[in-house]
Amino acid sequence: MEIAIALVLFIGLLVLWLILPGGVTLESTQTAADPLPLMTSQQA
Amino acid sequence: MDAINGADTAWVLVSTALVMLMTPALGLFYGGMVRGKNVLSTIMHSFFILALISVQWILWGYSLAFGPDKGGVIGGLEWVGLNGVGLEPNPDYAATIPAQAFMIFQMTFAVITPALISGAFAERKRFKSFVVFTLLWATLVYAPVAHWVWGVGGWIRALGALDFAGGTVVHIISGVSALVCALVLGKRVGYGTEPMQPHNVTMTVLGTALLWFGWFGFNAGSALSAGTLAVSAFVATNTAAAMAALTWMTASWIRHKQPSVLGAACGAVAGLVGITPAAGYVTPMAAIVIGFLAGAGCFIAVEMFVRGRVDDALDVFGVHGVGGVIGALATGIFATKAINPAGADGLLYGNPGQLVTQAIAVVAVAFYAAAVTWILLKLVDMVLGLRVSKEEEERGLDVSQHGEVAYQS
Repeated sequence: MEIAIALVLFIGLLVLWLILPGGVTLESTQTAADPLPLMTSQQA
Repeated sequence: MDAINGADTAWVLVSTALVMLMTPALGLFYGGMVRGKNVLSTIMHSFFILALISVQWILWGYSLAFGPDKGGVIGGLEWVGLNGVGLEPNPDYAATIPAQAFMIFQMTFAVITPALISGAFAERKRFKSFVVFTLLWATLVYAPVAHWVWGVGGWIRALGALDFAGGTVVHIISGVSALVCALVLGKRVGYGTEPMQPHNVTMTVLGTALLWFGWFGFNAGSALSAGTLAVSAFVATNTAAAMAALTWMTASWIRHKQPSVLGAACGAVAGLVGITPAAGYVTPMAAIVIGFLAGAGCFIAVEMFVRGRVDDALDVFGVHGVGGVIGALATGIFATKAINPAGADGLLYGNPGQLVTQAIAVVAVAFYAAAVTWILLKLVDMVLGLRVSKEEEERGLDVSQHGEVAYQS
């Protein structure tokens, strides 16, 4: 039973990492001091 | 000297060095989380305690904790100054290593336990008061509780409570005492209105890594032998730490929308705390479960119950107090004699009584630590005063208490 519970917990975490949002966007971290312009998908 | 086993002795000495490293590591772990003007003060709390308790322990601490039992509640003073503690083994505690090896290993636990409390009163306690409080606490709280749980004749040991490496003796009493300290000292100036962000998370992560490393000595060293039990405790320790780091980071990701580095670090420590009482009694799979419970439980305690209500500056109660309770109770569920025949079976292995015994131990040590800590704080406050002045606090304790600056601008 311990093995089953451990597997469920670990795989559960893996699944969560796949579905949780991927963190802050680059735009939200852009500051006036950044030397490089933000590259948009049209420029890339 | 024929009874001495070289491998066991070598492992215990190495473990002693590993656990010794944990105290300055704790200084870094805490130091990174305070504001820059208080980093030296925070590091000094840990470093100073290493020196203070190293001497206190060999003078009277060891005798009180492990000396000949007096009524189940304290060791006697027969071993003051290490009288009678020589290089022959003491089979009551460890039959295959010199008695002084056991003594010095236990010393490193006596050192780190009061150091843990310092996170709760970081950034506001007078150094002189901290010194006096620590010495009294180590003598009147740590030593008696160590005797109850680990000492021959200790009443909690006699009850059959299991604590492999210090869930009750180290983490619960330090966590509860930290909460009392935070409540008695009160909140830092500006708490709730001014930002108090960690000034150096890299320092904290380095401290975490060194703590994790040292914890192998803390837990696997508590086997007091270089054999299968040490291996089992080693595997359980790493596994629980890892799972708890993943869990806290995930919880932080869910609540704050980002996987936090600091969260992963705090989670690892929570897992290490949680597995501490269980390390030598549970399977690796149980260690995964305990890591998850500690990571999740401590996250919930810190984020939803403590922060914002009590200024426990560095979450000592939430991690060590709550983590210690989770671990101690989990030991009562997952312990199995298949891992350690000298232990006991827990709830999952047909012995629900063990969980009750663990709960009794938890409640007893928590109440004792809270009560005596409160009394000591009130006494020290009457004689010396606990807090620095508002001006000293705003200048920063590095300058006001130590006359030193960590970072030259």
